[in-house]
Amino acid sequence: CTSDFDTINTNNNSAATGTADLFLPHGIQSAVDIYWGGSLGMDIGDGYSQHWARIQYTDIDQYTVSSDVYTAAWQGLYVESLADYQRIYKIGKESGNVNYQAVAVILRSWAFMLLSDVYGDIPYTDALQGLEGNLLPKYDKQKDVYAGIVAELKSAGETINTSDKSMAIAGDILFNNDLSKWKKFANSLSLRVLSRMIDKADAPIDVKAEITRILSDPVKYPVIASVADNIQLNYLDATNNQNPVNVNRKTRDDHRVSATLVNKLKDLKDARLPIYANKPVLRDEYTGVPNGLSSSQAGKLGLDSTSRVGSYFTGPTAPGVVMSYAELLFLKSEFAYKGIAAAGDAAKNYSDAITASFAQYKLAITPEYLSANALKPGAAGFTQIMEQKWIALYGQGLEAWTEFRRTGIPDLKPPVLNTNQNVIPTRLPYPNSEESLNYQNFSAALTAQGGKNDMKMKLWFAK
Amino acid sequence: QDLAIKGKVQSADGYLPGASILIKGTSRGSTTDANGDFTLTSPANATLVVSFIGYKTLEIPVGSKTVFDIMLENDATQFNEIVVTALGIAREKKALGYAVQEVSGKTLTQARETNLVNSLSGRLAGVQITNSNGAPGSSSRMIIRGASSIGSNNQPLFVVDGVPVDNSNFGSGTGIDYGNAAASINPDDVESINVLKGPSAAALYGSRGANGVVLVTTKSGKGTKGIGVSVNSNTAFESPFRLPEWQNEYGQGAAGQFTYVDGKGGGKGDGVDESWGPRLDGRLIAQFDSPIAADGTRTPTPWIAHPDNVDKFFETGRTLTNSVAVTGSNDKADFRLAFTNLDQTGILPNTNYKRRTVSLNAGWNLTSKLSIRATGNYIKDGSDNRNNFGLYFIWFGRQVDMDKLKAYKKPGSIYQYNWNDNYWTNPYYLLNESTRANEKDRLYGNFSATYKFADWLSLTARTGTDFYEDRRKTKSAARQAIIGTSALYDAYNEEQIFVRESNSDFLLNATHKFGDFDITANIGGNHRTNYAQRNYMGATELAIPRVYNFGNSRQKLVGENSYIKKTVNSLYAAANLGFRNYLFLDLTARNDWSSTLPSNNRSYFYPSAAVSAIVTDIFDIKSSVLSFAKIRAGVAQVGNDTDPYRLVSTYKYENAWGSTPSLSENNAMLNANLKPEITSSYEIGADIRLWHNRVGLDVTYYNKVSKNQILDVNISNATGFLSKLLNAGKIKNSGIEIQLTATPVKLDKFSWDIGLNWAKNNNKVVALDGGLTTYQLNTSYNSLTQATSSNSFRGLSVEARVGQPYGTFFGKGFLRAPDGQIVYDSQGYPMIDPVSRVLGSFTPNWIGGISNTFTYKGFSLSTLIDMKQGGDIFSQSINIGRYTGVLKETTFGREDGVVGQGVVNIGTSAAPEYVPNEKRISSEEYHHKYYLLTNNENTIFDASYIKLREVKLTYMISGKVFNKLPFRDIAISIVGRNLALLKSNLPHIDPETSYYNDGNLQGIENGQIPTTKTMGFNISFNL
Repeated sequence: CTSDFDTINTNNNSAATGTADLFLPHGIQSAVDIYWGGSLGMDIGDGYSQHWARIQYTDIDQYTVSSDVYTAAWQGLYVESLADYQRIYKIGKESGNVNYQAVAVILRSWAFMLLSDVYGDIPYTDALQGLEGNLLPKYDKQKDVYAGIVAELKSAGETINTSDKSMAIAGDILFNNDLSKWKKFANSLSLRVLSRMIDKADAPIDVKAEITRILSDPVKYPVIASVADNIQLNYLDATNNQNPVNVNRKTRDDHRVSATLVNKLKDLKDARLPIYANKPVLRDEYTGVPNGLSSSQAGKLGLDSTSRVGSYFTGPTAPGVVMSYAELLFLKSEFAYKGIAAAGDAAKNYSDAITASFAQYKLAITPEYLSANALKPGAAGFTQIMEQKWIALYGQGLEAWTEFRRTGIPDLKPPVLNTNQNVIPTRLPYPNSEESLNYQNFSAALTAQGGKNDMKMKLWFAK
Repeated sequence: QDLAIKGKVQSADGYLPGASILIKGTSRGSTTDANGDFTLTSPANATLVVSFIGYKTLEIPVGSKTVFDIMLENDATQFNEIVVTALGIAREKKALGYAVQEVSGKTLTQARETNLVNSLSGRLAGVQITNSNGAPGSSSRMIIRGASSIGSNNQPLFVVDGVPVDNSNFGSGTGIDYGNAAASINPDDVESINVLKGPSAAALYGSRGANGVVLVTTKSGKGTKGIGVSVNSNTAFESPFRLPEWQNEYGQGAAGQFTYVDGKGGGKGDGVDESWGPRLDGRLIAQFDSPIAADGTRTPTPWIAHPDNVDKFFETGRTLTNSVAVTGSNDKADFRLAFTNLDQTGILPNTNYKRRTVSLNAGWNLTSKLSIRATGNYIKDGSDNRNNFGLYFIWFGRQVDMDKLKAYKKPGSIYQYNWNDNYWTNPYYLLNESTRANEKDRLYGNFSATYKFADWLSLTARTGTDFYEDRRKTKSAARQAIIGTSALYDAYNEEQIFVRESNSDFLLNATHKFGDFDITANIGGNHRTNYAQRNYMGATELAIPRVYNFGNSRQKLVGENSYIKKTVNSLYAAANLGFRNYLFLDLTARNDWSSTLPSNNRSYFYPSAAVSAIVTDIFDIKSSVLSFAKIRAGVAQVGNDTDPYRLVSTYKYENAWGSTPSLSENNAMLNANLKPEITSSYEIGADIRLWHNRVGLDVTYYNKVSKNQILDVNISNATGFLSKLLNAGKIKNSGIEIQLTATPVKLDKFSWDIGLNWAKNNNKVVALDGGLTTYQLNTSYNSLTQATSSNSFRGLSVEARVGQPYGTFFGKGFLRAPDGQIVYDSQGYPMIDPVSRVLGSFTPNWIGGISNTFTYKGFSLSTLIDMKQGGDIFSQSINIGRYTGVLKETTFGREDGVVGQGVVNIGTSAAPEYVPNEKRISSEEYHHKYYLLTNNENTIFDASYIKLREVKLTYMISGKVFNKLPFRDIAISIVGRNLALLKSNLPHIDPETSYYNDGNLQGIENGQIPTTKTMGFNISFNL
């Protein structure tokens, strides 16, 4: 009498099948949440780029990072986000929908890039093969990850079919199912990846040729062309759909704007300061907090005498920006500065980028500001580009931290009190789970990168 | 003509109260009183039959004698203790080839624990009980002979009157303990509890017997004459067993400073929930409770200590238990109907627990061949509020006057008034406004019928069910004053859990005697179904304050539901062969078919065999020293299945994005080819009694190996998954259990009995699966929500690690120089070793208990001492309390700073050169760095203890005193439970506590409600 056992053991509580569109919302939101919020976004990204500083529980601002932080980021991106993209890709392949496959590849490229930016070498070609039985994925070198992403983004952007209605997509909470925007995402992201490799003699691909390929053919390889094209998740004011910084602020009040940023914006008389920071409750002046204070120093400053993060960024519907028009123009400015003709004029791109950054916050740029910050020739000019980019990347702290690690600009100093031997963290350690569950590949990756599993080992793009 | 005769009955041990004197061939007779005396009217020439259990029956001709001095001889062959064994079959204990231990119901009701499981603590060899917390109605964890399953349930099966009852604890994931089902069995209705410890004892219960079986037999009306009424009333008072020792020298603040402005950082250190502020020397400081002047400023008030602020917060809990039972029987039928009312208030303000139980146990011999019996228990229990709360005072301003917080609302507001508006909710506000209520209706019972075909052949059929519905209502009041937009709105959720287990079984029993052989054979079968259902709905934000209704939601409601089903069919057979009543062989065989396993593996067979030999009878030993000796040995195998729906993966529902629905890939890879887990064990033992039973010794050695464990094994996240379900893992438990009973003194009116039990279990994870070395216990699977969740304790991992005992703590510790000294950096901060290491294990080395009972006339005094040696605990409270400067030991260096004891490396990492650390830092900085919350080494403590578990004084009033009144057999007792911690290496907290009530993740102290000590008195009498 076991004939009905299969029926009894059939799980009717959740779905055994699903269509690709159903995996997009969680796939997208989980990654943007990690990028924009969480300890990775806020303490590591915004903190180590010195956009923000800690006013309470300052250990992490002194570079004492608990394993929960670097485990959560790794685990979240692989298990929550990438696993969904892999499922979307598989469903797209089975149903012959090239657009779902392309969307999955673009999202996957973004997440893999993020992982590599943060950790270094990562499982990439071997990753996400759990269902195929590969439980011990090998790590790929960072330069191979980046090169692979460029190739994947090229083919993904090229295969997107905007005209065949049978290939329309749904569930796209990032672009509202607008496939032309996915093309722009693919190519703009490619430029970001290529910027990581542009100064590297051992890059496995011809970086300048790839940049030229994209920038010289805007019809085939469109990129972000206006502030309206900004790639961002517009959070909703509904439970579980709110901006993660907003969610954090519901129970915590640990972050303030960093003195490094506040002082820089004050020096520049920058109109973005009132957007980036709020005035303290008890003072009529924007007051940044130095990074890495001891708790008693922080306690003396007081929660209400220091500048909280600007309300623009802490509201429930604050957008989670993945890539902005300003960033794209800064990339072009750098490429032009580094001699790529297709990128146009460095100074023009630079001032357009600053203008775009102001426009992002509905601020009009003044001619005085542009002339006071006009691009200087030579190395000073590159410093200006990167400093303005650092300001424009406010909120996207991880990208700002990565750009600082790549270029050393702006000239950030580690806090006086720090537990990383006076080095601004160069990466995050791989999580303990890799050490205990994938030990051979984990240790081979560290050997290949020539360092320890700490926050002082320089990554390939920063060497 | 009749003679008035009198006499005394005694043995070598002294007088025998309760011995029976019967006039042969009649039903006339008498029994001896407490002094062994009897009186009787007897015809001359009659013969007296004098008997007493454990002694040889004597026949004495009366003749013309009127005074008798009768001496009974010890009968070593009569160790015919009857115990209830698997499937409810009563057996002679001496025939068993495995260890069984019994606790009488009387012990439980007088010891008076709300939770039946807690009252077994220290009484059973090899049984470890962890009383999780002091919340009313909370659960306890019971482990017999160590954990044998790496990832699944390790608790024993609870069987009431032959029918298994559900013992699941479906926590809501909010840290609230809603109690497991064993906790709601009413101790007043329990006749006895038999614990079958090993798989060989439990082979006939199948899968769930692998962890041992707790057989509960409820009271019946059998043996009462006419109608009897018994009444029991118990009152008990509870207070925290142990609270931390606080410092009272320094108040709230940071860097020695404090001024209150708004409680969230507006003043100096007033947003801080730590005590690194000014010395409590009476200086004038503006505080949260300082009077506010007309201009809105606060008038500074004296900055003084309130040493008892925390102690005062806890109230005296009170438990009233009243029960009445009516029993009756005649030769055809018997019944017992009982009602118990339990009413408990907790040690936290506004918390309580209530339980009402009605139980009926009735039997009827319809004909000489057919008898029927029915038992039924209806339990209604629940609470208006069972809030979890505790960690609060570990983050605290030591100067806070708790009395000022009792008026917990701001004047003219519904929102809270508090000492700190940055992080904390006023505890009175929380406990009164944010309640966690539940109400549970439970019914369990069974119906059985036995038909005797012949004296040697009978058939019993039985069907039973256990179901409950638990309705939970959680209110969360908005706090408003807290930072930013925090908790602006009230929230509300309701959760409904329905659980049902049904069992139907039959058992054919045949006995036959031929020559020197006795044979008993049983053939039976069982059909079990499990069903559970969970409905959850939540409103995260309510519109109108304090209106807790879903219609009042500002946001889309969050809803979840799930249903699980499982069926197991079984067939089994058992044979017991006895030779000359001194050599016994038991054989069992069972086959299960479980719906949770794939079709090719769902049928699994497992056997057991046991022998026992009464050595003293075989060799006809008659010795005044050795009264009885038995040796026994058994081997057994038990198979185990898994939870439903673990073969085929499904996708997870995610929160919709606006109105766009959402799914995600499951985090766990399931396994379509699961095999049953198999536990193989053997045990050998001896039962020896000496000096006419004055000393008894029972020793058991056991060894059990569990393999093919069904484990949710964590894998590299880069696979896209957290875990894969594997048949992996082998865990070995071996150990020794010793029970010693002795009566060192036995005089006319005074006796002293000692009971001792001791057990050592060696637990070792032998293997996991190819390549894997670690299984993390922090990962747990909830079959009802079908979710795998992972708990993290500041980076600490609690693991089953190959080569280590179950429950190894693995985490970060100090960086140490080769000589063991802590290495400091140039700033005077201790450094952390980047490589994780084993820091301890929650598995104890041994556990034991000693009980002493002194009886003098009607008085009886008993004590129970309970102990655990080894096993560690992770204590958040101690570490955080040191970090925040609230504990007693944190006052040093407050004025002139601290130089951490250790060394600094002034060389390189390749060629280190260590010199003593000389850098002086503030006490606050020192404590923050030394007790860094992510440094796990500081949080692990030895949790060994010796506890005075129980002291009980009972006085029995003999019936004669109340000749004119209807009361009989009045017993008054005073009972104290958890009275003292006689020895502990752990400061501040009870070493016996657990955050995760009854799961496999143990040894975690996370600021749960303190455990309690209980003082109470009990009155019982019969009518």
